[in-house]
This record gives sequence, structure tokens and C-alpha cells, in this order.
Amino acid sequence: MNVVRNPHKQEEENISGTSTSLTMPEFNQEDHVLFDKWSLPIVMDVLGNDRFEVDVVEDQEQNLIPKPKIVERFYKFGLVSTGTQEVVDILYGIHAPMDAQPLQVVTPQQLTDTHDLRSGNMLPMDTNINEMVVHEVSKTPIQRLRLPSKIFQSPYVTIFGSSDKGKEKVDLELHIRPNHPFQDCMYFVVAFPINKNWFYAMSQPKKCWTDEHIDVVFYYLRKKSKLRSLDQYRYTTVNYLFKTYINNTHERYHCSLADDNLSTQEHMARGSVVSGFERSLMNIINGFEIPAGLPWHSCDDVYIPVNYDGQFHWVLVVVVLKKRLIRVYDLASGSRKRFYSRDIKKLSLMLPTYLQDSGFFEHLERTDWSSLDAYKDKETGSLLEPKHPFLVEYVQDIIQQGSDTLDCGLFVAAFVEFLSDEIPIQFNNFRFDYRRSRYAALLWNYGSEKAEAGYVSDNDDPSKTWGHFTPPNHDALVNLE
Amino acid sequence: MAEGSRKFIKLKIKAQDDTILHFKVNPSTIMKDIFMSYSSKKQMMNYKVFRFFFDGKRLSPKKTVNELGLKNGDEIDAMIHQDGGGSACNY
Repeated sequence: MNVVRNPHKQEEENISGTSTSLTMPEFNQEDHVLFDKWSLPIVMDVLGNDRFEVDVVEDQEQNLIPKPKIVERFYKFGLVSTGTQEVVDILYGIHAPMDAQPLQVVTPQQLTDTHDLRSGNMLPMDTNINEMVVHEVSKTPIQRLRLPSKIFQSPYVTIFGSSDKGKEKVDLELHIRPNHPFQDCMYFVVAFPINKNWFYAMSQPKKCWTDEHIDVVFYYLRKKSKLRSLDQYRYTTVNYLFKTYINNTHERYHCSLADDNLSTQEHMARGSVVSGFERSLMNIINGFEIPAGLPWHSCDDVYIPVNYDGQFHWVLVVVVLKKRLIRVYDLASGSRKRFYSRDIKKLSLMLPTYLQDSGFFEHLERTDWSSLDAYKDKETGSLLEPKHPFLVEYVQDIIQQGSDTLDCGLFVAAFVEFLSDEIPIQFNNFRFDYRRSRYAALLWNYGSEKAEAGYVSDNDDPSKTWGHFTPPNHDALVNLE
Repeated sequence: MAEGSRKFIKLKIKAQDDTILHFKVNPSTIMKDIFMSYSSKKQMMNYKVFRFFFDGKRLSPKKTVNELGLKNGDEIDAMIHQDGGGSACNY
């Protein structure tokens, strides 16, 4: 190997000897060379993976150096060396700027018609650049934002690739994505999920169910029950407000501590408020007020979702009307029962009154309620007075939820479904996660189909008539008071 | 007078306690505006803590008064929402 430590002289001759071959095609690559007016080491990818570092020195009066010369010189170095490492070592050795000597390369006429050149004065002169590394050019990919297309079919599916020719006309009727369900909103009669979070909370573990979830599930179970004939097992459900009404009335009649200090006028106002709740309770018992309600006298059981007041817990209460019994399914019973039993007590205290007031015992079509043993006084044999509360039974040995699963809303919904269909509940393989996603998927599917097809829920309830839709006046001012 | 010729609808929103707030709204008012002004009157930052019921059904915040078919003098129930997770708070 005859490469010496400072082989510039030889190299100059070599380069000047081959300076006519300016347009060597294999080296006519762009953007690989950048140089300064002064000595600059240049890293290039000349021979595949090997990186050579060479200092390029220019003539004082000549600012520009043709790229192919430099490239060829690298190439020669590459040929000379036997091992890449050796060459790199040598080239590092000649790297020092003080040893750099002018390199006579080409005449200025040749430079003018080369487009690959970059003049040194394009670089800022005052900055002390003594090293500039040019890496292989690679474009930074722009991050692509994937957005859902309005058209199902890709525009690039023809045999012509991306060409516009031969592309079929997209049938807008078929391929336009149906309206996003939340453009308007999903309509579940009793609740309106306005975004996807509603379903997310329903399907994901460790998300609590709100009253809307419970009410929607209970509403559809109620609708299911309406299809049954009178001789089948019949049930009905109520919405979550039933317990709220009960709490309010109970407060009025039994927790008199606060009410004792009310003045007469305040009592009047308070009484009128409570009477509103009482009216609602009796309406519900008679099958009005809530959508798809059934009168209680035509049912066997009533399922009531109970939110333990301020305790962040859903509990299922089944009113077994024939036995005059309240059955409580508590997923987290045990240590907390003593806190919650008073909530159930309110229900057992208030229910008999409103059953009597609503004329529950006068309906004999399905069951003669007053002739049942449970409603009879043991001693006199007459109808039990409303002051006797319902019996309360806590169902033992049911599945307990995990300590941090927040599953009790799901549990309430699933238990109602099991009990209403008279299916025994399998406790050992309950699969909470599956049931969560099942409810969410069913409702999502149903809701989006409904929104897409523009169905309107039939409403055969004897309730208030709803007004006709008139197009809103857009320029009208919103006046809130 | 232009104001007098417009049709206004008077709505009542009744809370769980005794209080009733009266609203005079335009038929094209979006319900969310009513809910939000109600919540601000009740000093709640978020109207979603309330559930607004009419006729046993929740009222969609995206619809207008007219679309929901609310009439003059209708009474809306405002109920506090309820969550339940079970053992989130341990005693």
C-alpha cells in the first residue's frame, strides 16, 4: 500500500489527469457534497456503507469545486485501500486543516454549467465552520393524520394505481358512510347519550354506571315485559327516580326533626312539593308517568334500582308483591349492610301507603291481592294496615364484586335480566367484562341503527301529547330569563 | 313592538327541593342553553349534574324547545344525577 500520510500532491495529479470525466454517471448524485470555502471534511457515502472523511481544500481565488472531482477522489481512495478501517484511519490522518493544501481541480468555465454545485458564499462566512457532516439524504416523513373518509372505497383500487382513468364512479348512495350517530344524538327514549363516552363507561371495566345506563337497561326490560301475556310471569321496572320520590316522602312523614321547626307557611309549601312526589309515585304504580310502564297490579315482581343515598352504590330491590316482601340483592353486602339498611327501610315503610292510595287492591283482574295471606292481618283476617311495613329479605350467598371493580351498576342490570327471564344465575362464572361489553355493544348497535334509519320509537303510553315540529326560526334571538 | 310579536314559551324547572325557576324562552332555544343558565343559577358549574325530566323522559340537551314539543307552562323536573360503583369508597 503506497498511500502515504499526506498524499495530496499525488492526488492532485490524479485528479487533474482525470478531470475531463466530469459526468460520470454513477457519481452524479445530488446532495452528497457540501463544502466550504475553506477546508472542510466531508463525509460521503461513496462505496456503499463505508464512510470516508476527506478534507477538501479549495483554491483561494476559486470558490467552487465540482462535485464529481471530489467524488472520484474518494473513489480512488476506496480502491487503494485494502481494508476499510485502514483507509479511514489514513483519511483521518490527513484531516488536519493546517496541512491542507490548495487543490487545483477545474477551470471556472466548467463550473458554470454544473447544477449540483453550491457556492461557498451561500454559507454564513462569519461562523467558524470547520466540520460539516453531510449524511445521506433522507426525507423526514410528514406525519400522516388518518381521518375517517366519507367514502368506504379507497380511491386507489383500480388497476391503474393512482390514476384517475378507469376509476369507477363511486355510487354515493351505497358508499357514503352513514350519518354518524351523534350528529343528532342517539335516542333511547329515556336517555340521550350525546357522545361515545357513554358507551365507553358502559363497556370498560372500572367505570361506574350512572342513572342513565341503569334507566335505559330498565326501560328496555320493561318493554320486553309488555309483550308477555297475563298468565306468564310478569314484571315491571321503575326508573331511578322512584327511590328519590320515596326518600322525599319518607323525609316528610318520618324524619320530622327538620320539619318540626317549619312555620305553617313553610309546611304548606313543603306539603305541596311532597304531594307532587306522591302523585308521581301513585302514577308509577298505576303504570303511568314512566314510558312503557305496567300497572303493578298486573305484575308479579317489580324491580327497583336503588342508589344508596350518597353512598355511591347501586343495589337491586325486588318487590315480591304476592309475598309482600322486599328482596335485596346487594353485590357488596356484608360489612356495609348496616349503613344501607335504613335506605331499604324507607322503601318498606312507604310502599304500603302508596299501594293502598293508588287503588292497587281494587284491581282484581289478575290477582285478588286482598285475599292473599301476606296482605291479611294474622289476627283479624282483614287487610293489613299500611302502617305495617313490607318484609325485608337480604339475599345471602350471592356473588360479591371485587373491591375496586365498580361493577354494581352492571350487576343490577344483569341480575334483573336473569331474574326476569327466570334463569338461574351462575355465580361462579359471571364474566363481568363480557357482560359489560355485551350491554354496550347491544345498545350501540341498536342506537346507531335507529339513528341511521331514522326510526322513531313507538309510544303507546297514555301520556301527554307532544307538539308538532315546526322549523325553528334561525334569526330569532335566544332570550333567556 | 317586535319583541311583543315574538312567541315566547314559559317553562318551569322544578328542583328536588321546593324551588321552582321560571324561564321565558324562545321556541328555537336549544335546551342546553336553558340547562346551563339553570345550573348557573343553582351555582353549579356543570349542567350535567342535573337530569332534566319531562314526562318521565330525559330531555336531550341538543334539541330545541320546539322539537321536544314543550308547551307554555310545562314543568321540567331537575333531578340530581346518581352514580354507583359499589366499593369505590370503602368504609
